[in-house]
Amino acid sequence: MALRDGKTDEQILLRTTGLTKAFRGLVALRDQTITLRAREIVGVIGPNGSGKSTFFNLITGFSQPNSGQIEFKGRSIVGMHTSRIVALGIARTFQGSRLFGTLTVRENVLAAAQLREPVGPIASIVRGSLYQRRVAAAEVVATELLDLMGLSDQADRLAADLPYGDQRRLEIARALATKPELLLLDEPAAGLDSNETKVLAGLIRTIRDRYGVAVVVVEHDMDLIMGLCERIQVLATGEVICVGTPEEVRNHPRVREAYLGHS
Amino acid sequence: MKADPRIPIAVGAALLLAAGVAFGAPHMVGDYFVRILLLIALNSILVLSLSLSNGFTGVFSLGHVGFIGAGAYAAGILSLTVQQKKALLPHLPDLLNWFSLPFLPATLVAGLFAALLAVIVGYPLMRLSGYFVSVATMGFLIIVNVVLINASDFTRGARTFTGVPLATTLPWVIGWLAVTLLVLARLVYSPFGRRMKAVRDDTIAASAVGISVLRARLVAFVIGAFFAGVGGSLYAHYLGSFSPNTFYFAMTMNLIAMLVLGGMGSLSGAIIGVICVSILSELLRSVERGFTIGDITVPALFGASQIVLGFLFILIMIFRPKGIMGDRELTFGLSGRSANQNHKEGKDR
Repeated sequence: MALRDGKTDEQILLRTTGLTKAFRGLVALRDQTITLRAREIVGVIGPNGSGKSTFFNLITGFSQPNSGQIEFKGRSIVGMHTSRIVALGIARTFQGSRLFGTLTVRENVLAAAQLREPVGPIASIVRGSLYQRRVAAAEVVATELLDLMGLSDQADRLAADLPYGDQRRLEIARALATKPELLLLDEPAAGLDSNETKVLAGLIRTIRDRYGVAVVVVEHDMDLIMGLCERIQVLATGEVICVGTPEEVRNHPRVREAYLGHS
Repeated sequence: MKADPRIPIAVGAALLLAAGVAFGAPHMVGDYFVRILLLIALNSILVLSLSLSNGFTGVFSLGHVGFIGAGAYAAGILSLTVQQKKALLPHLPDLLNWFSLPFLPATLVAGLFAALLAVIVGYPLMRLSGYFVSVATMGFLIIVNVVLINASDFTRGARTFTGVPLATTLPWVIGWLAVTLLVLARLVYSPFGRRMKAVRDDTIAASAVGISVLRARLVAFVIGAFFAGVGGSLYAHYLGSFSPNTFYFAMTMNLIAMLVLGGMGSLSGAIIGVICVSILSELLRSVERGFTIGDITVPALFGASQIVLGFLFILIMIFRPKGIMGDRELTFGLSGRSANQNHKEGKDR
């Protein structure tokens, strides 16, 4: 670790330091610190209420930390509005799923792809050549991502009508359509069977290789995390109890006590 | 999006038909029907403008009629003749009392005035969601009403504002309806419209894909207000005289009922809602006066039409809670595909 830290900061994609968040006195996350490099796949695990989702909400600007720093590509993003943070290159999915239910599968991805191919209200009414180009470019992105996630057959269905497993993949496709450099996946394997989970792990690796994104996976599911992640951070009651490779984490006494012991 | 060309085509076909009606109707049918057609077209403009925020963006505004009222009074003040202004509005500021605008520019200015008002009101209010924004926009409506009543230098206060030239004819209204429909169809079925619907479906997910919730809502609110202002001007030039209470809760409820009945997420639904309610209330109104069939005489039952309409709304909300059209569009048989639904595979390939 020390050696890699000695390299230039440019390789560091995300760095949080001393991140603390309390809700009405209840500390959800205390003094959390993590460093992420481009193209890394990192897992964050911990039992319920250990602060995993809080961590994502802080990074994506859905809630503000009480103290601590969040730097993305060397610039502080604390206090920034969510839509700006997304524009900088951080995309996320949600626990459960939050799709645009009345839009089709394809439209869900298009709505996100439009971030990089923006079309304003006036342009939408006038429909000049730039509008046509941007609409076409977004369609290309959507087609590619739906193919990748195996959703092409379902492209014209309403998102709300999709089976659960497909909804989870659509969430990932939609997040990718914003062309992120960092992808945050909140319990992507929840509700999937072990076979679907295996497919998902393969997909996440493909995504990393093809688009060069760094991925943070917050998960309960140890199988997914252990098989997929290069580094793992373990949280318990809002505090970091260890960081390391899957092997190191598995054998860490406090992890066994705090997390594995339960399951 | 590949289904898109059909919607403009459908809109075009509808407008061609409407243009035929606009110029043909006065020669073919009596004044009564021309008046009903005019009111249907006029209310369609108002309900369409309401659908942008309430239907497509999920901001259920109860203040929309405030923009209609503002537009009506703005246009009314602008198009009174200089002599009328001296007689009716003697305290009108010098800036406004020396000129008189023709119908079209007055209408455009009324629309822009309503839009400007929407920017000012919407900037703080479009941060609210759900019931909060409904109640807050209702507050706006109440403020507009109170201002109209008290700014008597401009509005003659609670007294009737009168003398507005009766310039609103059927072709004018159909023309404006065409513009409204064209602009809204393009907006709603575009990437920006998709952003509006994304905001309606889930604001959190919308911001997580980089959509500015405030901007999407504000744009819908302001464009809706523009056409509400235009509709207000048409209304003013249709009635000739009106008072602040013309543009208050009764009109609000009427427009919302038409929108909800027709389907909140559908432009054609909005118009269908207007047609159904208008025709039904006309029919019921004649029934209400009492009639005789053979030996049976039905006495006049005043208020019966409102009761029947009320029941109808209850029934529709029970059996078709998303309104007649829901979020589908009528495309005149050009495609069986609805705007949002397609379960037939490979249709868009």
